[in-house]
Amino acid sequence: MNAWLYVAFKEIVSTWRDKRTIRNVLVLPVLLMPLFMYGPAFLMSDLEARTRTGIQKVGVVNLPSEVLELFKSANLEPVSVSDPRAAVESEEVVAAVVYREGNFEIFSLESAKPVKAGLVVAKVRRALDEYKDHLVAKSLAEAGLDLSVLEPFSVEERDVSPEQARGAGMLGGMIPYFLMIFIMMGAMAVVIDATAGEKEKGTLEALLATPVSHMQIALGKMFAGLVFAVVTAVSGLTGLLVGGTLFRSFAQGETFEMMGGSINLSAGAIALLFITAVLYAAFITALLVAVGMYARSYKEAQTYVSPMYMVLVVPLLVLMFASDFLNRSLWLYTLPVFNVYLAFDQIIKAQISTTALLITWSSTAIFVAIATAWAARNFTDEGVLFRN
Amino acid sequence: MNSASIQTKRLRKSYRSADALKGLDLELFAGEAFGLLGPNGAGKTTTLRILATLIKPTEGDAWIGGHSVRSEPLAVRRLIGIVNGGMGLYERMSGREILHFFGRFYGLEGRVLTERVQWVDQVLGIGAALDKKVQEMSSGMMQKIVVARAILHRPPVLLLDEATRGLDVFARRALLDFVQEYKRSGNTVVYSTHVLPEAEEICDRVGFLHLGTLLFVGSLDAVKERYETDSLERAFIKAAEEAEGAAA
Repeated sequence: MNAWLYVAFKEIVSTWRDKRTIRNVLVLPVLLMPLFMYGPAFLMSDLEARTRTGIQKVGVVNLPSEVLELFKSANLEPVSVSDPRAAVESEEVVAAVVYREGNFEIFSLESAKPVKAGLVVAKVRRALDEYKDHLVAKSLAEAGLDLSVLEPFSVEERDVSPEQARGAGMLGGMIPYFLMIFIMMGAMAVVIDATAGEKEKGTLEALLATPVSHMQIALGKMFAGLVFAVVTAVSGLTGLLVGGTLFRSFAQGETFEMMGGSINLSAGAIALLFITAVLYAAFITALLVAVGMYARSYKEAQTYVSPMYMVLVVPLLVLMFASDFLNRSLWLYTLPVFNVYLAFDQIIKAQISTTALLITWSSTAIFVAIATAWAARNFTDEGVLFRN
Repeated sequence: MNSASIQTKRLRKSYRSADALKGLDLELFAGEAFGLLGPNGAGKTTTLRILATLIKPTEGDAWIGGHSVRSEPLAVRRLIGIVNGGMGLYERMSGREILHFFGRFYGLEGRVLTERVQWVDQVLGIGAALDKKVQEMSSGMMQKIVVARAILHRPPVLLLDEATRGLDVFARRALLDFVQEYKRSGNTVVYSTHVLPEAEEICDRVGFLHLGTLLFVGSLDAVKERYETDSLERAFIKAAEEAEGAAA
């Protein structure tokens, strides 16, 4: 076995035995990430379903009897109130409707309670729209006109996005982001201890005095970080997929489906995701090794890595919501980190072009080479090794 | 030159602010323990790090077993073992796992590796610590594993830098006894310390290093004769005062 493999094996075993790291990096994300990602959508969806089927009290003042009947058939319970504003504010009713001189006025706490109040107001609006349609139909009939004059043409929407893109939806945009976070978390778990940690404990000097080239030692540490990063990403992604499936099987409302978050990947797409993830993990690991070697202690390394995390990951939050607006010029796929996010996003939505993918891979491979050279140099630079 | 000996010629090391070593010339031979003595900041650690190929000299060169630290670092590293007082161990590994990990870098595998681990166990009396995780070991036990790691490949040159730092009286005694035994087996031991009585006990020759300059090299008898005192500590102080007087 090559010396770098011994080094890698030692780092992996050492990290695996650190129960706290394993819990924080492998177990908690797998359990908590699905909860954070799908939980809110699930709750909203559930609330929506319950609001739709349940009966809510609505304050009424001076409403025509036909409207009251329409409210009842829309699962709304009309309650006479003297002061609609006070009734809503005291939450005696979810919403209140007042009819005055041809005008319906709706009172609600829509800003304070956007989900529940919003859903009830929508129910009220639907009932009022139905009443309006009824009045319009009646007037047209009296004038001898057909109802179709109001709809001289119809409009139909057809979403031609690939099936994968439709399933991914809004939440799908978060999956590349989480994937990249998992990769960074996995690499960090190994690398900081294997570099700054070794310096601090005084084990690095003994390792560097063995008849093994420092390049092999650097490669071993990078490989261990890479393995952990990929394992963390795979387990994190599996957690998201399994969690998503579980939540979906219990979800009742439409909101959950509208939010998306389901991934329907072919074997080919999984392979493309894996290759991209490995390249990105290699880049991040090499960067972390280079930065970790510069630090004199575990704590110091964390102070270097935190800004690096902010610089590398936080901009992706913006991208998560703005990627629709990007003109996908090929040069975007040459930008470090950014290109990997775009590639993940497009692979998941089955929209990636071969050229974009090849540019992403080759540019990331170049970044890996540069970062690896930097990391290896830090293992031979005595100014870095014995920095006071 | 004997293959297990050390030679340095005009060895100089400069850092940005100052010269840590100012042209060190030394010759050490197989079967001797050489005490590299001096206060903190004298250049002892720098010398040992150069010999261990961890840092490069600014000028000059050093040879171990005929191999240059500049041009043949891997060959040099096969011939040395290094221990310093601040060296640690992998806390989540057992003593045996650590020795196996390091042994493989010297080409030790299978039965040979097992026999070497048995040998260091016998020589250092490691016992139960071999199968304990480092985080469960006492500091004395940890230091035994650090020494075991350094001699597992039976290096003809052993570099010890403040190796007794932080050790209790039993662990310190065991280490000093081991160094004498290792020297008697024909190996070269470089014992760097600022605790002069330790050097007095185990070294055949000593070198006084002060502010990067070697002030004196010779046997313990030669020290006493040159500085007219029985105390190595007093001799060192005299040497330092003479050097500072000459510089002034």
